[in-house]
Amino acid sequence: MSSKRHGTTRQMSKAFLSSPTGIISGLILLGLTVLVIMGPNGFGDQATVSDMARSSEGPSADHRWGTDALGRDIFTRTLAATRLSILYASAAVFFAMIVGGLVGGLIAAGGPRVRKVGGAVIDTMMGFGDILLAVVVVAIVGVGAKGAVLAIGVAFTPHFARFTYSLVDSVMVRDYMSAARVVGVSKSGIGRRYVGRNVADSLVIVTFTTVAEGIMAMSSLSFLGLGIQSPQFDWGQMLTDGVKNFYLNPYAALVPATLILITGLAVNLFGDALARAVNPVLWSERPSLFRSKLRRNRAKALAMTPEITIDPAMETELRKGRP
Amino acid sequence: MKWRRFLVSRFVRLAFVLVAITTLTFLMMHLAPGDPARLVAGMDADEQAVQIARERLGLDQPMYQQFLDYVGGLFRGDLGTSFATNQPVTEEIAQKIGPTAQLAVLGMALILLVGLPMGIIGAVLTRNGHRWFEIAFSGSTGAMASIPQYLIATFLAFLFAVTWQLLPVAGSGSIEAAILPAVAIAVRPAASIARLVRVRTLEVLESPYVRTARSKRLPTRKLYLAHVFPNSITTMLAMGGVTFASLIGGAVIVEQVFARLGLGTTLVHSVLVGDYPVVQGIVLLLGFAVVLVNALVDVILGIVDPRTMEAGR
Repeated sequence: MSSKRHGTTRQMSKAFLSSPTGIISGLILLGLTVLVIMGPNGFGDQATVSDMARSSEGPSADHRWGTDALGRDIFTRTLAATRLSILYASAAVFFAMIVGGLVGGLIAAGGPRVRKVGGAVIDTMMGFGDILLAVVVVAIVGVGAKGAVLAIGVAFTPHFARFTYSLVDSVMVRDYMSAARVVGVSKSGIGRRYVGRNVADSLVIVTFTTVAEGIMAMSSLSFLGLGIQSPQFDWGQMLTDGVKNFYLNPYAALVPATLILITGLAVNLFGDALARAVNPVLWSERPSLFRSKLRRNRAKALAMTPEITIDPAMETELRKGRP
Repeated sequence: MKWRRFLVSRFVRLAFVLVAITTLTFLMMHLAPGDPARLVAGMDADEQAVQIARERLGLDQPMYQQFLDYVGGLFRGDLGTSFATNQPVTEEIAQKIGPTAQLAVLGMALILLVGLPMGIIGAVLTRNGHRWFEIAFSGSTGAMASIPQYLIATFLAFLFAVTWQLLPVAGSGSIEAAILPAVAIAVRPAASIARLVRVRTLEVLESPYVRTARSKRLPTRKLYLAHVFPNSITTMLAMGGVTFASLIGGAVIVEQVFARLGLGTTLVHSVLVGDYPVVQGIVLLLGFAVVLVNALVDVILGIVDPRTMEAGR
């Protein structure tokens, strides 16, 4: 039953490719992936070796966006910083997804007491704001890449817990859940096949888009000096150095800032396109060349699979019967 | 009766959270690796000096005794002594709270004065299906709401302080120096509030009671003042807690961009040098502020819109 909600792979890729934002953001992400694979070493000396004779220069023929305070080429260095900026952010978000997903799932599965207390704890943690939480974690774990990843991971955990928790709740009340219970699917089967699968879909997409925020949060920690430490470097750290020398060469701050922004936008747009692609319900809302065909297909699919509904009275009877 | 239950449940929750924050800040120093006594005595101090420092800090006492001392100190308004400057932490905070408070107040004022009208105007203009305006509104506010505050701060500093040289780029003395940072922390929450207020106002404008009011030929000005405006205020109030937390977090970062000597820069600096009493003090203060504002918002919301009393529990 749950699989009927999904389109075929071909339909999904068609839906994805028909949105211009999806293609553009996809290309940007492809470029970023190449930069991540290349890493700091892929750019030779220009990104890392300082040349004090040419410190804080404005744009020139040699250095398109000028040099930073230590005479390194800003543009090359910004590209070279892509790997750590993205990898550490992804690690932090992955941590938050695993821990938050587990906590959220456990709270959703718990009794009313657990739900009440758990919900209150999550709300309170979210109330503090990510930055304050992250700074507290850094103060405990210590300054550096490890501390920063853990800090952003912890700061994002309540968001994922909250999301999973409400997601499970919304899946639990769907008709196919009642249907599965009626048919006699075991509790673990329901958890795995129905709740698990439906939650996983959304969780993966949300995790992906959260990486954008992770990048911003990680670079804000680095920006504060609490994140990645030299000789490693990421966009946030370059931004701090750039702001210090703002009057000499503003591009030292503006170039990494722009790349952070572009990455964030691309990840978000790609996530949106992805969400649309896997959710047939949204296909028709998107202006595209394939619209009419998809609509027809969807109408056909709907006609073939009547929604399984259960009489409300019967449903309450069934509920009563269960512990 | 409903009121009493509401207040009691809020109060219990508030007390619970305050105790949790206090415990967490107390544990912070003990969870961190390394020996605070060594930090105070200096890296090359001999064993005896470290031992003296340990006794002076009370770190030789059992854990529960230390906790009781810490809580007792809090009630006397004693947050301990800074490792770095040997000044009382309360003094340290008192010196630095000015620029941060100024930033928070200015930022809040900006959010109110810009976010709310923008949302209402946006709703009025998009009501009759100006599609291009709706796209422009959602697009621009959406973009503004997703740009982190330190990037906004950087771009603002570039435009206003470096390129046009209209405002100072750094400092914490004058009111001019506070304008750019305040705008930088206000843009993001103002944009998300404008979005919310627009949606809510559209709902209100479509609602049966507004239609009734219109059919009674209630003057437009009165309609907006009596029906639309209060609803927008409630929406904004509900966002109050989140907005305040985001202001505090924003202040921590934006102070760094503009080199303001406030609580944020002090907090970051203290984390970097391992000055735990100051970190504890500032986290405690900011944490309490956020929690108290949240509780206050809940109660005010309960007064203004009693329906939230039910939902909030």
